[in-house]
Amino acid sequence: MWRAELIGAWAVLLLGLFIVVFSIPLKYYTDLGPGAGFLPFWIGVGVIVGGVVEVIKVFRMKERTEMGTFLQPRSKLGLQMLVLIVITFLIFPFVGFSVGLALCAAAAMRIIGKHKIMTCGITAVLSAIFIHIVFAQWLDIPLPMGMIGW
Amino acid sequence: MELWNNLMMGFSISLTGENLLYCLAGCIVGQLVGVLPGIGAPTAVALLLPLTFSVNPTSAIIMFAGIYYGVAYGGTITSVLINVPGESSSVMTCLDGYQMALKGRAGAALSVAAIGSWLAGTLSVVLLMSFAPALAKFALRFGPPEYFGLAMMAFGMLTVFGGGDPMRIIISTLVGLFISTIGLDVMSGVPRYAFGTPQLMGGIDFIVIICGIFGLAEVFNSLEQEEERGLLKQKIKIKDLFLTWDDWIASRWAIFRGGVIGFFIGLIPAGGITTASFLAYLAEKRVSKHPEKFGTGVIEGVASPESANNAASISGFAPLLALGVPGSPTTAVMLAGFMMWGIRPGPLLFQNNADLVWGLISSKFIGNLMLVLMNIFLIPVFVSLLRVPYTILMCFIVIFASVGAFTTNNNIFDVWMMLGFGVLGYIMNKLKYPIVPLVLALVLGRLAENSLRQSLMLSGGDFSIFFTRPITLLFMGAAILAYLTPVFRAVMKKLGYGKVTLNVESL
Repeated sequence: MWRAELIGAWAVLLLGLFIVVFSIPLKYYTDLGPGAGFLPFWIGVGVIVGGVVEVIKVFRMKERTEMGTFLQPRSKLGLQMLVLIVITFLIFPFVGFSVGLALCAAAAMRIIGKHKIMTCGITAVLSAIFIHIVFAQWLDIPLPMGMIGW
Repeated sequence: MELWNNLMMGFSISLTGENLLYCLAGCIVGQLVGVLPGIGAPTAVALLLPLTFSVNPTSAIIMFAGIYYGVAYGGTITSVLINVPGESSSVMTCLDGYQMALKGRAGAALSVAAIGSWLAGTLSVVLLMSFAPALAKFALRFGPPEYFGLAMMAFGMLTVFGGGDPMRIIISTLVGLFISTIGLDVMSGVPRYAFGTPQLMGGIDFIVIICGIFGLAEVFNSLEQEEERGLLKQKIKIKDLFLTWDDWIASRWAIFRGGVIGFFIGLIPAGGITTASFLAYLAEKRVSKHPEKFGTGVIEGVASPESANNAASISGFAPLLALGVPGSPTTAVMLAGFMMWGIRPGPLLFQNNADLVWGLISSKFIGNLMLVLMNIFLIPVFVSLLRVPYTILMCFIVIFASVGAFTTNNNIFDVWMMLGFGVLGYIMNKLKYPIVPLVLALVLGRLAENSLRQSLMLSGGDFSIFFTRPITLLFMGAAILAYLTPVFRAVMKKLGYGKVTLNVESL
């Protein structure tokens, strides 16, 4: 966890630098008053200061080993879910929104929830129908369609 | 008389069949969200917001308000029965509520929470009716410097009430402000941090961010935690829900005090319903003749925080409606909804959209009544919902978040962006960088920047404009004091005055 805290603090510092660097090409002040770069510059400075304080704080932490770990035994469930969501978003152009999300729901129930295959299958079908009817038909949202036209 | 006429006009709107249905739907969803750990009020509102594009704004806002105060009711059930707060605002209820349940008095605990919430909620609506229009009239005097001061005060209050490391609260606020600057600068038309990406020119849509940072992040975080659903094996009969005379005597002032504290805490930007319940519990313990009994199952320990959190959830609408400044994450999400419907909350809302304001205020009387009835007669139904596996709930969150993000601009880019913000929310939560300041800064970012720049244009670049106008001075003074609070706390601690921060252990 200490390492994660340190990476987090460095990330804040880098974000601050990023904000400041890309605020410089924007006008800081115009004839009328503060320009587009005025606030971003000071936000960046603030984030840099915050990042420096955080880095120092992390280095001064005493009980490095007692902070636990960033990834816990159940973190892999979150990671599995993330992978499932990424795959779902990648297959949207082929299967469409309704079917894609329904497959994601079924896969999540099977892999993470360890539900029976039959339950997952029924969930997938019902989810696809629910998404299509409620969002695409009833609320008229132009969800991307896949090969089956849903 | 004007107040009465306005209220009657409000009832003529909120009592229409359509609005009653939306109010009921909001109360049911709020109750469900409160019961189910792992999903909060901002998430529920964020996920449903994109689906209300085509709905009448008054009906939609009535529904979202129902969700907000419904959550305050629903969170009690899990606090009392399984010692797990469905919402952070119900943490204090666990202390005495669960102890009451262990003594076989779960019915009385749930009942006093529901009735207390109703009474305090009604008191809060009455106070809101008188207070909000007066606040709006006062706010008509506000110019850009005042709005900048108000935004600064709201950000500053987060360091007092936000809970957590003040430096991380400030960093989170700054990151939110930075995200709000992405896209075309409205004053000069210059693109900022868009790097030629057309989808970023209009800025990152707030709905996309909240669907990720509240919806998906909550899925990742909840999956990591062990499910604690050790439901108390206690059958609750209807007769158990009726309070005894002694219960009434013991809880009547606790309800009143909780209601008043909740109302005033709700008015403070960033005050929030959780702080209200903490302070009400603390105050009740202080005035009690037997403070040592708190935590062992006294009815005042349930009545006070529950009354306070509901009163605060209602008065929290005053800064939103009258000033256009949200007081909590949920009202921040609602502010995004107002903008989505093309309505600008603030002093003029009471003049330009009186039907919406009074329809909303009057709907709170109706919603509170619906909730108290639901909580008395439908508790067994809500309890049975606790048996729904989280994986099913999680799938619904992913579906609603994905569709919600897509709906904002009808493109897949936003869906990927939402996923990115989901991961960011998860990491921030793990590293204890609070999310609420980011969301509040995101909502108020444009207002803060525009009013800052307009003020400096007015003054010719002179910053003294923020300290020479009385109202601005008041707001800036409050903001500076708020930012200095962590320093005061640290000094007090060093001087041996103990821990001054609010936490459960210190109570």
